[in-house]
Amino acid sequence: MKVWLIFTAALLFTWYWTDLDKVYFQSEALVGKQLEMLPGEATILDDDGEPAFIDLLVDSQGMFYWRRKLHTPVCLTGECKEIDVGIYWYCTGEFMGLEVYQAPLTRTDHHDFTEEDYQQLISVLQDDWSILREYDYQDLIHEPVDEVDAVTGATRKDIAEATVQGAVYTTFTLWHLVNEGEKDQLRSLTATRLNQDTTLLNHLAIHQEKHYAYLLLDLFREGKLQGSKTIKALIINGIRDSLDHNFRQLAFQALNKVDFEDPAFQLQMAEVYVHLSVREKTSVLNAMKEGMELEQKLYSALIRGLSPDNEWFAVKTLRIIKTYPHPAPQVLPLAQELLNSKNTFVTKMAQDYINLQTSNRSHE
Amino acid sequence: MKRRDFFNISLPATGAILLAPGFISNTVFEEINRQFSGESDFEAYDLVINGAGLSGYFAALAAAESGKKVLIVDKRTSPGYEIAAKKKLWMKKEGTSGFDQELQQLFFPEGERSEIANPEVSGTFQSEMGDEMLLFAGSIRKGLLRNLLLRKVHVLLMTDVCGVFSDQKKLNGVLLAGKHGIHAVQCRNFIDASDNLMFSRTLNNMPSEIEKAGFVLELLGAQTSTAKTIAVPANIGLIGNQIRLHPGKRSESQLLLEFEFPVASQKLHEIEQQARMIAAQLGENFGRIDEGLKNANIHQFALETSLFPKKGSVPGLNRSGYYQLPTEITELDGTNVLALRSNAQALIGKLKYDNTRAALTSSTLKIAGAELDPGQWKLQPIEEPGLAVPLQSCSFDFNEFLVNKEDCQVLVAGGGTAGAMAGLGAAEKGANTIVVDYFNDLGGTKTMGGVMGYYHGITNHKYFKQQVDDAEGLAREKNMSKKIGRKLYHLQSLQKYDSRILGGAIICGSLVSDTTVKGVVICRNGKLEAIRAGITIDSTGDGDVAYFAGADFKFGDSRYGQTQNYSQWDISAGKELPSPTNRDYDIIDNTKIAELQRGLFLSHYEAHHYDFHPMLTVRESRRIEGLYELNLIDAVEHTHFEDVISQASSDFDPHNVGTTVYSRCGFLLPHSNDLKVEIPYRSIVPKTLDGLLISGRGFSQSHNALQFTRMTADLIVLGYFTGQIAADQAWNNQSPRDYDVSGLQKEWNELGYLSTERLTLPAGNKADRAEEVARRVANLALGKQEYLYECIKLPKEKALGPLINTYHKTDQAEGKLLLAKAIAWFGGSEGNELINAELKTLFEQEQSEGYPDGYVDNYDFIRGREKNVLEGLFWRINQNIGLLGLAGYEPSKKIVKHILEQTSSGGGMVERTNAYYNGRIDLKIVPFYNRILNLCFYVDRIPDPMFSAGFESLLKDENIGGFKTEDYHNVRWRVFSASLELAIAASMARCGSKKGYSMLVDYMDDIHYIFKRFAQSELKILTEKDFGFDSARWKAHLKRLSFPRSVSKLEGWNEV
Repeated sequence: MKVWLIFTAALLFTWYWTDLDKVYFQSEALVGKQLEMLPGEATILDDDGEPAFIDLLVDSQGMFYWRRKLHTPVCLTGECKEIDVGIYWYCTGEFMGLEVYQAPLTRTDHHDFTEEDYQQLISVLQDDWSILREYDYQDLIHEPVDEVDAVTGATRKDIAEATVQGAVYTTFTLWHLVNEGEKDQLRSLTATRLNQDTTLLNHLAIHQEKHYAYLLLDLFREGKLQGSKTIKALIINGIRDSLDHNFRQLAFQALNKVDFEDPAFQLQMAEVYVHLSVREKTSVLNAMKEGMELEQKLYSALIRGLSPDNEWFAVKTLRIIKTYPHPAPQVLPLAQELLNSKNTFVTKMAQDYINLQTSNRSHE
Repeated sequence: MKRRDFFNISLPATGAILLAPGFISNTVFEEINRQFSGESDFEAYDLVINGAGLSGYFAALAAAESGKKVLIVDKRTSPGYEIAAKKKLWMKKEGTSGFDQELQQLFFPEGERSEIANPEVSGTFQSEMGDEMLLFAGSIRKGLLRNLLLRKVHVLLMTDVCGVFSDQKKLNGVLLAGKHGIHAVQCRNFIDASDNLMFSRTLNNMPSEIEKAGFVLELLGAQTSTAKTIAVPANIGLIGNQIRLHPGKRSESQLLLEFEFPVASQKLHEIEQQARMIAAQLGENFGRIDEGLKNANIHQFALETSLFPKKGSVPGLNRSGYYQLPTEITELDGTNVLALRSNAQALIGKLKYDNTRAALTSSTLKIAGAELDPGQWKLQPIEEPGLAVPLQSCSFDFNEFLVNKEDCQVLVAGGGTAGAMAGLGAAEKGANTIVVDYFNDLGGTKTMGGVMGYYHGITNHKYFKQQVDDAEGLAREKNMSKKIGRKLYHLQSLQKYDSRILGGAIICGSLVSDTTVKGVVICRNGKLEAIRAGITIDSTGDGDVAYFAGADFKFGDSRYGQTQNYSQWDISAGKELPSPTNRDYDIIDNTKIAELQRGLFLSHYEAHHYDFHPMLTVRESRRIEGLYELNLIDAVEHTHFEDVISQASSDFDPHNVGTTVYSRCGFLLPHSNDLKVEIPYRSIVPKTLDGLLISGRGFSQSHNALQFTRMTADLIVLGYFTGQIAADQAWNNQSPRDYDVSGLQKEWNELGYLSTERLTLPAGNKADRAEEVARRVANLALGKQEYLYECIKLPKEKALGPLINTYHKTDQAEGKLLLAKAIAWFGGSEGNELINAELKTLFEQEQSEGYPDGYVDNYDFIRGREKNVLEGLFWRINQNIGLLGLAGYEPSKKIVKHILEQTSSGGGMVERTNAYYNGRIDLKIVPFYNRILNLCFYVDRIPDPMFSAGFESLLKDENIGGFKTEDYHNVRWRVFSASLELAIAASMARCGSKKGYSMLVDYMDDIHYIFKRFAQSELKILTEKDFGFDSARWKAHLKRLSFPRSVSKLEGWNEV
């Protein structure tokens, strides 16, 4: 019953918007896309720090998107005009497209946007590193629109290239609505949704478009996505994958957030660790906590091939393995040899290891 | 408000001198420049004070008022650390009614009133709120410095005391650490007024236990504006689980949030970092802590924590002349300010000055952890003409005497725009990394200099975008401004990899074995330490580490040695301040002690009262000579290097008119030539040193090339890659000089950081190929003007022959003239007469038509100008003058003399299109600036006494002559007029004119080191004598010479 009510409400809501919103413009990425709005409320903060409602939409493949509908004034030296638009983003937070409702966008000469103007607008909105990023609204309104110059050393030419001709403020306003912190906040919303929906998470993890896997690792790396078997498997796969450097790099970066205490993960790591280069091994060691509990297999992997020849690597390993309860006999002599180093950092670490082993023995 | 008007009202008028605005400027000039206007006439100070907090300040004033020679040093960039650096911008009202006029004006100056925008404040000084008096950090910093300078106290900022000299009974000097090295200064008395007497603790190896620390955040956007204490969740870990809020007077939404925490470490840099991590936690929880903080944003945080060591006495030095002035204040109020002053005055009253000893001889130099005997240190004079502080450089064996050592695989010296990213690049590659920086926060120009709005360069770079997204995302999550978020991003990202960030460190030396750099020497809280590394990255921006290690370097343009000017940015605070918050300042040579101090003084005087960033943002400094020197042709011809590591992009932006041969001939005008340039690995490897990489603007490149490579986006990426390279070298124990970068290139390519196109291009550039030379020359012969620029970029040895051959075969008049110009560029004679004839015609035309609009450089007109085709008579004439000078075409002297005699300034300073451009110091030129500079360019190459009268006439023009920087306004506003006058002086001297010679000698006493150095080098060449910077000896020498002297041509090809 509850599900049916929600479904009906969603349909009515969709109809309401569909009916009210005469679409004057729809960008190409949205054309023919059947998107369904799901119930629930999500908010992000707008550029003034005020909450703005965001709609969650899904397509027939189950992939989801974010949309913000808004009426906003575009002001030019005191004269304001309302615009009524819908902004769409992919679940990755990337800008997807724009719809214009109620009335077409107009230029300062009161002429409607042409098709070319809309294309230029979309092109500008897709550039999340537009020069508009460097301007505050205040910078623009100091000068008449056709003489926009601003104070930062850029010129009319720079502004003109980054905006629709004769519509500097409209372009500026929309660009900031699309790109000023929205991506980051929408990615957080995406993470929240994925944390609640394991099926969707798994769907993205094995999606043929690999950037979804990248997104998951990225969200995990940022601490937004919870650790799960799926994520851990992605990390191990990424570290194993010697062909996709992006995947591999993200997997290594994600290690910092992984729960290394998980015995299953340690066992998987033990298998891949021995095949890594010294530099990559240090990335793994960096992610492990000093004094953590180690599975025997991982301990063995960590000490395999340890040598005083590479003292930096050796002490990095000693730091991690120093509390292992059943140390291998070859490690203590190695630490003692490292005491001969001229390197203060190395001798300190080696001494720490030896002290701990000595202390453990005296307690035995 | 006009900048000048603002300036006049913004100076704190102290009780000592209340000046009418009309007099302020000349007085200011004297105040600022006194310390740099002549070498000292004494060897030893009566008193040196370490620490320019309130106690040190009051002591300095008291001693100076009793006629003593006083030097005060502080490791920070401003005085007043316990208020400004710690951001404790409130004072309890109690006792403030007892303030005399001087204290009132120090804490609540009239000039700040226009910046107070909180309607809730009240009282005579518009600073009262509840039981607190509210302060502006800028006012305190400005006022303290000005009052010290007014009393003729010598001040060295960014300088720390790190040792003391003494004989058996008495202290007689101190050792100073600064970014220019380690220096000794003699004194009869010394007062340690450092924060918590940290220096005395360090010197005696008795660091006392820090019990707790405090930190202050400045918030904007708060909806509560009263002082109150608020409870916070226990998991944040604050003492008392509370924060204290104090209102601010800048606006009703400004708050200062104060908290204290138990320290997790006794290492001071770790305490600083702990404070920042707590700040992030608080920011993330603002909405949950208090409804009034829901929309609050951390706008700034303090530069340093307040430390609370365990109580107990601190040993001094068992020598007479060594004193301590405790600085502890739990909470500032009027009563304890007065008490600090009384204590300081009382101590000064007790000092004894033994002036009977003619020379102070030392038997011991004591530094933290070691005592040196005579013979174990060496003192040498330094080249600091005009600096009135009698310093000597001091050297000793760092390996033997520095007992405090740390080791790492990769050391990043300077954690600025590039350095912070170099640290991350190395750490991500698993290297044990240390980043040392002067500030407690990384980011340099972007964060400590506040240049956050700009991300020029290749902003579309994948890695660049990724790290900005990460930093800005963090800022949003923690409710911080982007600038503060970036500081936190650097801290968090390096901590994630167990890297050590040693903040508050002055880099003052290099550790070198033979020609291999092994690390650096730093000074922290008075302690010298050796930081040793497998690979060191010099990202100081000034090439300090490479310089200390003996690297060769270049500085400024090849003719005048001038650099771009520096800037300092005020901190904006929501509502507009009375004038723009970003300003371009004077040109300085940041590698000189006097110039750095002068830059700091100037910016204090001109900053707003609310607050200003602590760091000067220097655009150009040393360029360390590397295995390859990137040059202009590489930039404009898009040279591909097999060892390319990154790219840079900019227009040509020298922040002056452009002094090199390319600019003088109209081929490289400011803001034209927007392009991308590749940076090869070899240019970050010093030519004569090993173990060292250069990151940031100081890598090996010509002055021209630098203009294209110094943008922040590009330096961020270059820094990150440099860190990765260093890590790879450290792990593989490889020397930078023998390193093959192709492995990392492949990796960057696979990550999308370096395009496949970059790696598959043929090495070199098109201009090197015979068919390309032929194509360009052939098109030029057809009269296509745009090919003149294309031809002058060709290598001379390949182009000159074909140009001359084609010239002889060509009948087409326009093509022949263009060919002649290209030939003249390369110094050839064919067709010089055609250029001469055209010059005559063009000048007649200009004379008859008058001067059209746009005859001066207008940035908007020039920006993005395609193909460098010159339009308008003004620059076409300039170009012909330049080319005839290069060709050495003697018959052209007649027309050039005529032009010179018809030339004037054209009026006062050129009005630009808007207030911003009008405020830019580099655009403050007279209309005919470029014409006059080109005439100098010509005459330098074809000197003749016939030109002297023309130049003399020009000097009588009120807008040209007399701009030797003799008063403050001229220093600040007309530095480029002085540059022009100096260029005229040099040209006249080359013509044998006595006036030229004597003007060069006059410039030896100029305040600018860059001008002095040029004048001295010209005189050396012209007279074949060297009297250093001693103008009196030069004058005496000139008297012995007979004038007019023989002419002296400027020889040699200009830098590319």
